[in-house]
Amino acid sequence: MSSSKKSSDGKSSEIEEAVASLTMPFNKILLTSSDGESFEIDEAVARKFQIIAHMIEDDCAGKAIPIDNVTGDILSKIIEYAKKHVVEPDEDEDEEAKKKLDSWDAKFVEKLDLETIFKIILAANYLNFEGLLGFASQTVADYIKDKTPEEVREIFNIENDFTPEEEEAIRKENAWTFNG
Amino acid sequence: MDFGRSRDIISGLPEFLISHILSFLTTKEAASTSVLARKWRYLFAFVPNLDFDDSVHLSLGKKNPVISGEDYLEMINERNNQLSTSFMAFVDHVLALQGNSPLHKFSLKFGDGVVDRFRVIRWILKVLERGVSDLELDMHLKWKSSLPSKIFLSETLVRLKLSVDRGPRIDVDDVHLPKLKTLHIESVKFEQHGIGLNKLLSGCHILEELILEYISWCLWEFVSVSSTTLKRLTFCGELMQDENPISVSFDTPNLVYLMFTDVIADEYSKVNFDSLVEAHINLQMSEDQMEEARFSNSEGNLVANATDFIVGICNVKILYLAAYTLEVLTYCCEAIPLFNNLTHLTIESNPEVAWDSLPGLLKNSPNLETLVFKV
Repeated sequence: MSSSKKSSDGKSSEIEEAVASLTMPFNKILLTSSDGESFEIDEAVARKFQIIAHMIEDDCAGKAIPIDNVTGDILSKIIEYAKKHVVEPDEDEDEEAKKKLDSWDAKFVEKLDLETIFKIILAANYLNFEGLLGFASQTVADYIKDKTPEEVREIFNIENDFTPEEEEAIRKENAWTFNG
Repeated sequence: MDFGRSRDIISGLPEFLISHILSFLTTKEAASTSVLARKWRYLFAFVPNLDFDDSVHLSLGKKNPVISGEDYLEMINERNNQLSTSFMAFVDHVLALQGNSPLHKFSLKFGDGVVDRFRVIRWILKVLERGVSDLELDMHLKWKSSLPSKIFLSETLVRLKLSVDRGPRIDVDDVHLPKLKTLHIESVKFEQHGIGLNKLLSGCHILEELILEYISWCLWEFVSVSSTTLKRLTFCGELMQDENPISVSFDTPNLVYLMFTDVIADEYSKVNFDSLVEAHINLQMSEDQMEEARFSNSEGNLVANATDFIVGICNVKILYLAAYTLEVLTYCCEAIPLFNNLTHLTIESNPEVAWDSLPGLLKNSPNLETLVFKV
């Protein structure tokens, strides 16, 4: 995967696109992040992003696609994940491959801080990359699971803006949740 | 978006993304976020998957040595009743918050405690009205009448799981489940057992997976599964009872996968597994039959006849045989058929069970590539 920084200027991206469609190898797509980083990826990988898959179907993809809402560092991580998941192994048919992939996924997300994970969630949603959106959301859900509300507030820096009476009322409202 | 180091990022996400994150938690876990901050009070209710599980109650902790056994039981009962009351209130509360929004999955589990039958029926009808596609009812409770018949007339259900052991009967009159692909039935009581199941299956025109568990042969006289769309079947008759099923029939020409556990039936009126690729078979003799076979059968007569069933599965590619099934091949099979397509065979071994039939089976599997012994 090649990555190069170019100045993010409207005119140069037009020229970029023109040059790309002349010089790009067949079946490769160039994605450019909001801060000018470019990534050349296989069409199969790009298709993991539904928004791009639709553009390819509707024949308006061109060879260079600007991704305005996503910075290079995040786009790079998303592409890394997409490449690993181009082919999803069938749980029944290839248990080995599924286990290996799950292990890779776990290592992938281990290195990421919460802030990055949230950025990935937003970007995966924007690109309509269901697989990664689900995986990242599950990861955040795991942070909430089995924790008390106090612990959850701590982890996510959530400020408790309830009065003690309000909080008591809500605990009563959802009594079974807190007492069962 | 600019994130500071100790900023609360999660609360700033669009609500649908927060709800999406919460959808990976149980409803109970998600509901605990209601108390995090103002913004979070009702977010958990936007999740279109609901699971209410009241079947596990925490114990009261260390038993107070001063309380008598009777008093302790009363305390448990009291607590269970309180929990049931707050459980029902919680379900009412969440369903009210959700109004008529589309609902994907609804799972309801409860066991002990007092549950108001009418409320439960109202909940089930409400979620059906909202177009639920995945319904799971796990209710083990004394309940004299039947399950709402509207369940069997749902135009939206894709998956239905019913586990209602001591609970309501299934009284099937009209069945029209045009979208149902997966049906999972665990220890249910039909109004009329074999007939009830037939009626249910006849109303499922695109069923692909059927799971039938804990079929009690004291109650069922016959089981007949007939479906041209069925691809996967899991069938578990109750083994511990010393009854043999009277009649079992499978007319499932497009079945690809079979997981089968049962005692040998007196009759296999039909065994159509023309497309079967993979089978896991745990077919056994009843205890009496086993004794007869192992100790008193000197003439070599068949103790029971499983031939039709064994012939029915002889086209598989992948086969898992439980230890007792090897015994069935020895004592209950007229002749071992040719397993022409068999490439992968796994045998579960058990020192108490004879392997007499194994050489014959291997001889009749000319294309076998892999043989596995599971200890």
